[in-house]
Amino acid sequence: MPEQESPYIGYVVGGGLKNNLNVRLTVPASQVREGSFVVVESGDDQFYGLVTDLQLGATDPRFADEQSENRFPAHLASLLHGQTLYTNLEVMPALMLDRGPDPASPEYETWRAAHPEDKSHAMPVKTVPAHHAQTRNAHAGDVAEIFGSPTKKGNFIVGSTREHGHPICINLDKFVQRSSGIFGATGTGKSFLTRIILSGLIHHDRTSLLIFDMHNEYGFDDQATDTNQKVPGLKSKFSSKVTLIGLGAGSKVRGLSPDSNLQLAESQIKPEDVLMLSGELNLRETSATTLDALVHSFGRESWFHDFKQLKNGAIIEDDKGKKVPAPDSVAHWANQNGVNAFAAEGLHSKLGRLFNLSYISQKPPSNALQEIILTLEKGKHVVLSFGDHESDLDYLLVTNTLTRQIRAAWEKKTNDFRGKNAQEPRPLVIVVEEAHKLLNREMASQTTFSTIAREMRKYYVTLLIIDQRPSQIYDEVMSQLGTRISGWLGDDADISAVLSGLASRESLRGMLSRLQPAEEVLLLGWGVPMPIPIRSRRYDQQFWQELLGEANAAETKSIDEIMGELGF
Amino acid sequence: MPVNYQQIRSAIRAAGQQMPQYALKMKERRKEVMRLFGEYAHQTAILGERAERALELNGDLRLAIPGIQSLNTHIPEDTTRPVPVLWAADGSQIIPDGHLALQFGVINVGLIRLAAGETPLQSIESQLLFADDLYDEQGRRLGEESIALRRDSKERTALLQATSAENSPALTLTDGPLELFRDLRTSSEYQQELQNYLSILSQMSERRLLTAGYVDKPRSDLVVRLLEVLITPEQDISKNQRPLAGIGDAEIFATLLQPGERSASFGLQSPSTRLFQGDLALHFFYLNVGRANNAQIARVEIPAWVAKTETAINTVQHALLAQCRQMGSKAYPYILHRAHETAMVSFDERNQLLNLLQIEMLNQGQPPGETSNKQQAKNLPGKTRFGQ
Amino acid sequence: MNNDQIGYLLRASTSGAVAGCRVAELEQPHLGCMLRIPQAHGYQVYGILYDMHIDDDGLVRQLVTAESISPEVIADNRLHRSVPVEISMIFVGYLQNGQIFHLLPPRPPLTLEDVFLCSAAEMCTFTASGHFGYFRHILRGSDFPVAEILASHLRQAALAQHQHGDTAWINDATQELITLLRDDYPTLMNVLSALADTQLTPQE
Repeated sequence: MPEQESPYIGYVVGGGLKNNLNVRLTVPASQVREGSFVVVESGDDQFYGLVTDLQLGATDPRFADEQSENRFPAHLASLLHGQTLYTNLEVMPALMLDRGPDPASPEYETWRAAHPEDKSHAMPVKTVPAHHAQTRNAHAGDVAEIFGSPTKKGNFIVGSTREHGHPICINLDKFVQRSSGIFGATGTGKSFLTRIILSGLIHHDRTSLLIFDMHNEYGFDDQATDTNQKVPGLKSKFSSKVTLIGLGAGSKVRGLSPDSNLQLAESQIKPEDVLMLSGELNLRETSATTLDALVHSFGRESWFHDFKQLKNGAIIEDDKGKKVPAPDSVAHWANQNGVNAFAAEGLHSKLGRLFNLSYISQKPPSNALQEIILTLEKGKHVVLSFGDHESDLDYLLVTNTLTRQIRAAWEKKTNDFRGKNAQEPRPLVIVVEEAHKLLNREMASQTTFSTIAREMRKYYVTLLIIDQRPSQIYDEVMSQLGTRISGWLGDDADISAVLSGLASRESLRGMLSRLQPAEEVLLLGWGVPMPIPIRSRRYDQQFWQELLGEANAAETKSIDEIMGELGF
Repeated sequence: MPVNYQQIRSAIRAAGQQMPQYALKMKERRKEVMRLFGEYAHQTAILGERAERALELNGDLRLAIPGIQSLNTHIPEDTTRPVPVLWAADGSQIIPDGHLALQFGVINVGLIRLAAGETPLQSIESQLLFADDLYDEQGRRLGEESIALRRDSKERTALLQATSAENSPALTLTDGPLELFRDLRTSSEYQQELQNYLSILSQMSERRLLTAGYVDKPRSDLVVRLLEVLITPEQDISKNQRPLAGIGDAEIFATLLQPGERSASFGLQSPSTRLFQGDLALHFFYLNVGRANNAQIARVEIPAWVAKTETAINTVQHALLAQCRQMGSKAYPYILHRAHETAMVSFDERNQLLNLLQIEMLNQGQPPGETSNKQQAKNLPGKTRFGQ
Repeated sequence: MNNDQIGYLLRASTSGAVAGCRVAELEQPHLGCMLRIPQAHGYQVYGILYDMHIDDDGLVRQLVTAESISPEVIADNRLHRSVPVEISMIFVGYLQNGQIFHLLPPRPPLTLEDVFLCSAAEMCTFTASGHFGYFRHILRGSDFPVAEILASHLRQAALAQHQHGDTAWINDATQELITLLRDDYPTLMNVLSALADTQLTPQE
């Protein structure tokens, strides 16, 4: 952007805290876009806000109605239009900042003492700027003031302002304090953005990540669906920090072998895991009673194994030649334990899909679950690739089973830390794709995920949920999400869901529906100082160069270049 | 109170009843005039003799003396004549009014000069008559006639002075007859003014200034009187009988002259013209300044020094016609109108002069005079209405 | 002293005046031009010409019926006929103690004061002083074509300002007019149409 003569783009003409501010534009409307980050200077205060609307106005409707440019010479028409036709910006004020008195003035010393340097004094807007307060586009300094300096540790650039390309950071430490979400319709760049943020978190190295990689996207390199270019995976870039685990013995991910495989023990399957699959398995209401009886009868550890061994429908003839359930049959067990035989048989047959899963075995070679927990505790990151097991059943079962146990582990560690001065648990972020499958209205009350989302950081575990249908996610969970990053959304319900629990929903709604797919995203929520649409960072060579530094850039050099450097 | 219409109406009716009879009489007389005019048209010598004889018998006669041209001569406009520089003078006056607060008179003479291709000139000469000026040698206050006489004299003086620097041939015009035709002819003042007047005319004559007096809508019957002499027995001539009274010369010449044409020039014989001798002897001709089917006859008086040269008369004829044409349908020499307009003193102007005089009187510590009670009563405003 | 004199004051009020001049002197003043009436002690009243009357009378009406009017008669009528051309002006400001005010003069000038045409420099000084306050006197007018007077005035003033190096004046003036008139759509359209007809080229 070339420096303009006057940095100002308009002046305040009205508005309020409830209805946003109205700013009369003094530059051509084409120079300002919806979502622009603008600063209103009013006395010692600076107000930071977003342009949420541009409205054409005329001092008299007739000036707008008549095409006076056809009637008058150009210079007259332009003078007339300059006076009678105008554009008003609707600016949603988000933050204000006391700039303090002029450094040259005597009051400055006192003020300076009360406001030490290196601390952002930005606070929520509590008043309005004066009439005719000058408004300008935010410059890099303003952006840094509000969103943090890109050079400061913990601040991670996720994109830049749309008009002027000033870098916008999120504070990663704050980002993981609460659960967060990345939303956007298919093809809006969700997964690239996720990769960028995950890379940032890995690089920042303060948290561990458990990534449920349902579609095997994050581990190894991938092909971009639209450009067919190579997309580096996390394992490729952070091989020492990332453990790639495949589901099931001998599973392969994109034809490559993972670091290890995950085999679940039958003993690790608990009745609540099964109940959570009620929908998927089409279980009856009686299932819970039957499961209770099973645990009572076989014990919590082995109910799954023992129930699996019972034969469904096996009968023998008793002494009187009458056909009765065989002693190893489901019906026999039901009769013995006062359970409805038909219900038990029904449950057995429905659990048949679980009984047949290849990654559940009676005695897996290693306690993979424990290994995962250990890995995470060590500060490494786990990408669990589902490989060929891409059905909802696999996803629901594995994520729930794992998460429940991992959370239990972290809960214990936290209690140890609090009560016994043990080591502080390392924060863990669980990354969940297709989150609506786990966090929909029906499931939310049952799964561990909603608990995690609600608990926030109490037990050092938070979620990063990634979804294209946020409206399907239970709204109580949605409202708990701290940072929300959303790409383009078309559906009204989805838009409402993303904005739920936020002030100025109406202003942001339009902005969200007009984001440029795959280019722009809207940052909002507790984790960012103020909502802002940004041009998201490109997940490309430059990104890696900036993130990992010059050394890593060598990877991009061609063979010839490398040979050349070597002196050949 | 308005007119007593009852009384007047009966008089009007009586007058109307006489009209047919009167018209018949006039018709007879007009017929007789035309007959005589036709019969004697070419016998100008006889006419001249009879006129001489009649004048011997009655010196008060006022009539036309024919020249050598026949009576019915009609001469068209000679448009090849150059139009000389035109000068016109006209005067107006304020007559002292005893009812005003102060008594004063003004003689105002307007002068106009028109010349082709030159900027027109306009000037006004004003003379205030105040205090002693208002009385003649016998201590009598100047009357209307007296002031008019002075005015006529001033007009002529102004023309003479104005044309003194003129190098080109010039025609001086005044409105009305050239002769001083006033009722005061026996007074010494008249004699004095007349001598002055004649002296000016002489000077004009010496300088060969074309001079003419223009009489619009003339009621004169000089030619008719000449014809009357023919049919009046000698013993009756001194009795001032008028067998053809009521018929004017204009009626004869309206039928004779086409638009632009003039009659022959006649000598003008009257008691007062006897003083105009030699080059100053007064002559006149009739001129049709009207348009086709709408004859408008004017009488133009010229002195002998003009009348004796036919081309000079033609020049006057052409110049007058050109001037009349400027005024469109109402033919009248433009320059004479302008001289009149220039000289005119309006009622408002008279009042302003009165104010100026009163202020001056006050400045000098003198009483400003008082309006007569009669005049004050006349000055009372008319009726007014509430709200207007 | 100044051949820019165009006549003498006939009558005046605090808001305007009528000056008289002869027809033959009618070449200098135009509609919308600026006039000044100097008074004692450096006090001077400024006006803008909004009307000129050429009256006829009976003689003129009769003269036009003639088949042709000779040049000397025309010249005579123009030079000597005693009817003066009446030049009406509205007052737009005054000069006092060397300072220009765009206010109505504190007192009107007196009968038979000399009336002068403003020179280009004087017009520049007046029109550039203040912020076009004098426009309101013109806009207030109800008995003359406001738009035409404004356009004519702006054209003359713009040319004068241009000569004196201020090319932006006309834009500022137009802008001010639009601001003043934007709540009066019909008048503004009239004024702009008239301005368009002046064919002033844009100055930037």
